[in-house]
Amino acid sequence: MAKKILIVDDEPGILMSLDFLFRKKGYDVFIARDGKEAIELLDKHEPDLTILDIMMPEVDGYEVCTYIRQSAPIANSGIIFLSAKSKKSDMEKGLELGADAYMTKPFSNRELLENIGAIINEKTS
Amino acid sequence: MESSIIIVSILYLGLIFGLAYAVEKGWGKTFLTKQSGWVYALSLGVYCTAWTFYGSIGRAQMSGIDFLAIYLGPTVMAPLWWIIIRKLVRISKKHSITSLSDFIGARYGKRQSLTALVAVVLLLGVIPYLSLQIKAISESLQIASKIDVVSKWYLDPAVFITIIMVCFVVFFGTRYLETNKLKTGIVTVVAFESVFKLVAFLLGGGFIVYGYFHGPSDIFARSGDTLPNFYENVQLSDSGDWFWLILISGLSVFLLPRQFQVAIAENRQEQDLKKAMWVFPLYLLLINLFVLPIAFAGTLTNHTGDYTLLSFAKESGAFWVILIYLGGLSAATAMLIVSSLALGQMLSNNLILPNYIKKIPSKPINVIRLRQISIAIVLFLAYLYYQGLGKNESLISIGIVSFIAVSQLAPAIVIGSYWKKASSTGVWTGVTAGMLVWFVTVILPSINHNYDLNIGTLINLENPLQIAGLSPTSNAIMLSLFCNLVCFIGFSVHSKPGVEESNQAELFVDVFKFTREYESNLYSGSTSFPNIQTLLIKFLGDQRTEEVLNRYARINNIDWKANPQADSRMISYAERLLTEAIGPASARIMIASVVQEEDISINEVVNILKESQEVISLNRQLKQQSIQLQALTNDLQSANDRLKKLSEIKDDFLYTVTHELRTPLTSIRSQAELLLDMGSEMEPDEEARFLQTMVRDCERLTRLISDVLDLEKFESGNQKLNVRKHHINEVIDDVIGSMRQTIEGKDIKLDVNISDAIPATFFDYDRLVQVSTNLLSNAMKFCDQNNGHIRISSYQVDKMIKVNVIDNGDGIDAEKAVRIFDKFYQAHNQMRKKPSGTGLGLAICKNIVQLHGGKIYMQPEEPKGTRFSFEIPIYKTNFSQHG
Repeated sequence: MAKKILIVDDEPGILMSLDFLFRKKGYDVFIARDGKEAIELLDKHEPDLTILDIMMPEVDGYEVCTYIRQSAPIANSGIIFLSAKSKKSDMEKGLELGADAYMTKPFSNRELLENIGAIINEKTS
Repeated sequence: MESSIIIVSILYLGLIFGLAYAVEKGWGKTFLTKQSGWVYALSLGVYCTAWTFYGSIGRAQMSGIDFLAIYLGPTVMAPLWWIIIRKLVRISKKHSITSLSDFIGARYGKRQSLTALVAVVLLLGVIPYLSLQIKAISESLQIASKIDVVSKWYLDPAVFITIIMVCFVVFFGTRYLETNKLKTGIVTVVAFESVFKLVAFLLGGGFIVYGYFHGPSDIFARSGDTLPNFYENVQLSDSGDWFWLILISGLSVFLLPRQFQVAIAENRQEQDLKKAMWVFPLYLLLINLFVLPIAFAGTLTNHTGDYTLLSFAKESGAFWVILIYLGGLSAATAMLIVSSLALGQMLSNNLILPNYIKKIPSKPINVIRLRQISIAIVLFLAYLYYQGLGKNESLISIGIVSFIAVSQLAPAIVIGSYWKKASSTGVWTGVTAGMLVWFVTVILPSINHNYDLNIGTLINLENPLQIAGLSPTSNAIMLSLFCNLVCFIGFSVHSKPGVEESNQAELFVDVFKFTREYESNLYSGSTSFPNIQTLLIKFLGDQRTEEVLNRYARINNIDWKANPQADSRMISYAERLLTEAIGPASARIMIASVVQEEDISINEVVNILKESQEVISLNRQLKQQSIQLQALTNDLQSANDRLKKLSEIKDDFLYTVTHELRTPLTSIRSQAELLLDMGSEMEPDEEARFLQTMVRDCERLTRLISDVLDLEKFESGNQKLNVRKHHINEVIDDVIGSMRQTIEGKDIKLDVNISDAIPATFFDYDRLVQVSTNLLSNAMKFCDQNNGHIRISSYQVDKMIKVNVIDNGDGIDAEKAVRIFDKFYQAHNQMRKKPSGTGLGLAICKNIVQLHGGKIYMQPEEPKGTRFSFEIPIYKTNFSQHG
């Protein structure tokens, strides 16, 4: 069964390219444009991995991350922060909240795929 | 003749009233201030009364040049004025002292009883002297008008003169509650009268000497046979008299109440003394110049007695009668005015007020009214004395009676100003002893012998204290001063003065040493503020109290409501205010009644003073430096804060800019990688979509970069405006024209209301197009999504052109309204749905409008929506070219 990935970002260009990329690599892709929508989709689809932007209106990436780690069915799923926030403190905060990886924008598609692959493997084994 | 003399009298009195009034109203102020030395020196001429004007000649006829003694005294003493009088002036000004009694009272511990004693001595000693002037006026008027009117008291012109004098002094002497306010009107009148009487005397004398005779030598030649008699007189008169008369007149020139008033209380500046030191002796010389020739001329032509001058005048026509009469009147009125002022103040402040306070402690007191009544009482007493006792006495003898009396105060004042050990006990005993001797040697004989003092010097009558071989005058002066001094010094040496007294002695004697204003924190005590306030209201009245307390609070930065405690400085201030109104002794008692006081020792006082003397200058320097350092530190601190803030802002800005750049960059990179790696797997339309997005993101990047650069240029001041004369409405038309299609496409209703009356003005056309475009596109973004409605209006407000862009969107919180013009505000505000702008638009708009000298702001619009407005001034010229 194909692994499910949720992309949470408010930047249309990024959503577009990641959607295309992940589909080509055989994942089931869900897209949320803000934190609220992300939580709805998380409950509905229980993805194996979530790509999280941090700066979003109303519910930000950190809150979504905390939500995932506290919701039983998906508490152990993979989380990758993908943010333009490049300060060390931002990164540390993200990892402390339980994310598996923190990547800064702009990112390389290949690195992102590698990280996704590694995390999913780790979680399923 | 009678009526014309009375008319002339009234005219003359009207003149001095008018002069005093005009001066008080500020007339000739510059002149009087500039010539204050002359005015001061001439006002001292109040020393020469009717006694001088009429009496000197009579006395010269009787006893030769004896009359000169009382003018030689002041002349001999004049060089010492700079030392003695200057010190008295300095002390008096510093302690708000305006009378002899207050001076002595303050010097010896602000003792009420002492001021009362001095006041009594002066009233006793000087009131007869006042009555002498009334008598001179009355008699000269009778002689001039040839009519005996004294048979009925109410026909006596003396009554009217007294009443008019009361009015004058009350009107011009009690205008202010503060006794230390200079009475310029009175002083000017006195100086004027000094000039008047001198001129009258010189003219009259000159007329007699050169009109009737051929100059003084002619007179002396003709009176050759009387001259041996004259020499005999001089010889007969005890040469000791000269010494004693010179001594007491030298003292009286500043110890008589009227002299103290003009020389010390009314002194404008110490420098004026320098002029007085030569002008006043010269004045005395001039006014005595014709005395001997006239005296001899009178003897030769059978004009004798006190009114020799007037009887000469009567032979010479109405002009001379009027001139001489007015000269005498001016001499007498000047003396009456100043003396009654000084004595009235003593009577009220030192005798009536203290008892009044004791009897009715709670009622407010109208101090001025009390002073006015006192002045009237003094003049009334003088009038009574004139009616009862004084009618038969020669003009000059009562003067000496007064001189001897006031001389009794000399040790207390002069020695007390130089000798710290001088004590109140010494003053009490000394003055009492001196006055007893005065009474026995001077007053008693005159009463026993039907007040026959006509021979000029004191009568040679037996009194129990007469020392054989001395003239009565010498005997009285010497004995009274001797007893006074012995008691004064003896008791002073052996007494132990109280703390307050020692403090005051220190302050008085060393007045020049402590030149700086010692903030009399010599009080160590405290009370509540309302106590002080109540006390002040009682004497100063509500209005004045509020005025002075507010001023004090303002200067010292005190809030009475927050801190109702009155500290020692406040108490000292209140005491000074009261001193100005009611004298130091009464003020002291009143303050003591509300203040819980701890005595402070003499050593503390000396220390405080020494400290202020030695340390003040050092302190001041240190303080100055410390203030400068503090200011520098503050400057540095704020500069540093500014830098820090700037640096923070810059960091923040950089971080935000890089963040904003990353977003489109991320998108571009990710899509470029996709195209590179997987281009072959893409459908053609997919490929086109990616490329389109990339181009759009590139455009976004470009826009962002140019906005950042734009903003940077504005903020660094490098952005120049391209200013020409345009109509603002063209800008609005232009902007609407370019966006109309988009607006219609979004189904937004647009109302435009622009005033045709707006004049053309100078501005940067493209930049205002940029501002208007920005505001309009914001309005399009934020207006109601379904029923969008935008209103644009422009009109003139005062000298500004105003443009409004109003949407009907959800509106913006008031708290955000200010910050919305900050750069990247929207980027920081994560709670907002991300709009598509760069976040710099409004910041740039703000810069543009400000560069035009205008302002931009937003306000919520009722019932919903937001109004953005900008205003720019209407320029008549091209403002940008002038920098």
